[in-house]
Amino acid sequence: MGQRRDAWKQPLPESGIKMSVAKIKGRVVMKGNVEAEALVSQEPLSLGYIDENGAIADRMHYLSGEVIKDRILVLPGLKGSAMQELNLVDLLRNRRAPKGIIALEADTRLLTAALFSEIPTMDKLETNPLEVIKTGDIVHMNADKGFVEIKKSAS
Amino acid sequence: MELTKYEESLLRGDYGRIAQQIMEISIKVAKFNGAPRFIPIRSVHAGGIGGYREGVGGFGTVGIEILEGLAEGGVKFKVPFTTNMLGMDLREWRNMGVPESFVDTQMRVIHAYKKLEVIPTFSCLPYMEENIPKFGDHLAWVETGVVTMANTYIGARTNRESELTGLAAAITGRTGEYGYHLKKNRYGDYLVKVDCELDYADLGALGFCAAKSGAIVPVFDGLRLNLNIDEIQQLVGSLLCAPIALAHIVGVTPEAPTLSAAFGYRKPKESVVFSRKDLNEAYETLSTAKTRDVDFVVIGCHFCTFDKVKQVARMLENRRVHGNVTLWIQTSSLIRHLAERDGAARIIEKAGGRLYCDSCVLVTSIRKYYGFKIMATDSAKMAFVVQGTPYLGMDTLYGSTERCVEAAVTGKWD
Repeated sequence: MGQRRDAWKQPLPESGIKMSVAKIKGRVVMKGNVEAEALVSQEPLSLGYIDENGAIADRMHYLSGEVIKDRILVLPGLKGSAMQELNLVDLLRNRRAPKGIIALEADTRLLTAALFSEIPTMDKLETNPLEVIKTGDIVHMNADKGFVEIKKSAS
Repeated sequence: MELTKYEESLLRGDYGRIAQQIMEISIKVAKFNGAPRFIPIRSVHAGGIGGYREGVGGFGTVGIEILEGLAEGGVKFKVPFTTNMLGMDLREWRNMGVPESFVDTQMRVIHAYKKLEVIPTFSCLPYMEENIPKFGDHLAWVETGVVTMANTYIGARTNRESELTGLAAAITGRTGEYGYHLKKNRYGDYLVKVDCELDYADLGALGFCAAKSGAIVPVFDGLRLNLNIDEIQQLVGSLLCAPIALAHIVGVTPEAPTLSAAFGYRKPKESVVFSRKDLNEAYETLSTAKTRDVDFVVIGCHFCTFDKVKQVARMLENRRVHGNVTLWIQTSSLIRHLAERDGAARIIEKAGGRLYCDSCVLVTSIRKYYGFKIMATDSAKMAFVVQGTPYLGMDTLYGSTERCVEAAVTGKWD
């Protein structure tokens, strides 16, 4: 089919900083200090379709069934409905929300969702988080000081 | 960021905690996006308020609390404000099978919105009815597909606002100056061509292909110059599976009088050419049903224009919708009024079809009420969204309006 390219899969411009660097700096959207297992989605995700177990219910998403609850969600950005901030607060109240969010670049909807829910959120990391963080890694996100570190790699 | 006296008083909390909170968030979001200042806007169109609490997604109890909090604080919308659909037809909800518990919650949302002075169209065609921008107007629109139409079809300027920044903009009459408010961000990046003639359904398949290409501002070249608004809506609507909020159609949409103007006299970043084979693949992706026994047919996403309602009525004249099939034709309350005056509504009703307004299956719990299994639709956007929406739980068939109406009459997808 034509020439396909997924913009969000492209690496960020070379930052000169290698993967082995322990602390990856980034922009703080919402402060907080959390440590949890990462769930990495290479594709955008909608916070509207999370089931009662805190799992992705979107049948079209390649991570359908994976749990976001209590994990650090690493993703390019959000997709879908304008109601993301309402959805995220709803998830928080029902104890289905992620502990933290790391995005490539937060758009208006993700910015609002992070600020309204007060879930620690960072974006614009100096190294592409979708490349260095793997699902299952234990990630420490210090959004008070503005860095992310991988504490333990998933084998 | 320079604020007006009124904005400062909102920020101080003079109009309640919720108004204060959304003002704070709106300022922060504008700053994060690099906006140097707020600029006046013409209007706001917010998201749909139907899926209030159906397990997943939608406006939710949180949304209701926000609206009621704002109303209690005594704020009013400063600019014209419309919203997308409800989860029910305000007149025909009983026939739709909507339970009274849903109606109660839905009415709470409407009452809160009325206090804030919403224009109660509840339609996804605001730009055709009571919230009509003109070329170059700055807007703070929220609902995804409608944002893309405002940018593309009218050449008005809006970002995809969030629900809360949209509300803040409506209350203050201003939004942050960033993104698509600036001409430099409105030029195309991908050139999209197609090597065959396109009908209405093909345009949806093309939009679906273009969205998958990675384009941010696709420029369609070589399409028919006589595209009508239904066709443009079909193309633009199907772009929603990617983060696309603006597209250009050369010779058709206002910011693309010529190919080079659409790209700001720069070279496209990428060029893609789609063939009939690509479109056929898109049709297949948009159709998940394994059998051809259709039990639900939906026409009208975006809502049907009056022309479209007439077209369907002509196809249904002296015919009868199959006993196993439910046919919904979705439109706005104003267009239904017109269709009733005209007689088209009567023809549809006589054939066993239902002309509903204010509402859309995408924001109702249709599966729960009816248990439909296979939905046929002539909207690529709807086919895509239904597939991704777990609580709708239906398989889809995507094709032309004629094919959908035939399926409604015969019960078979042919």
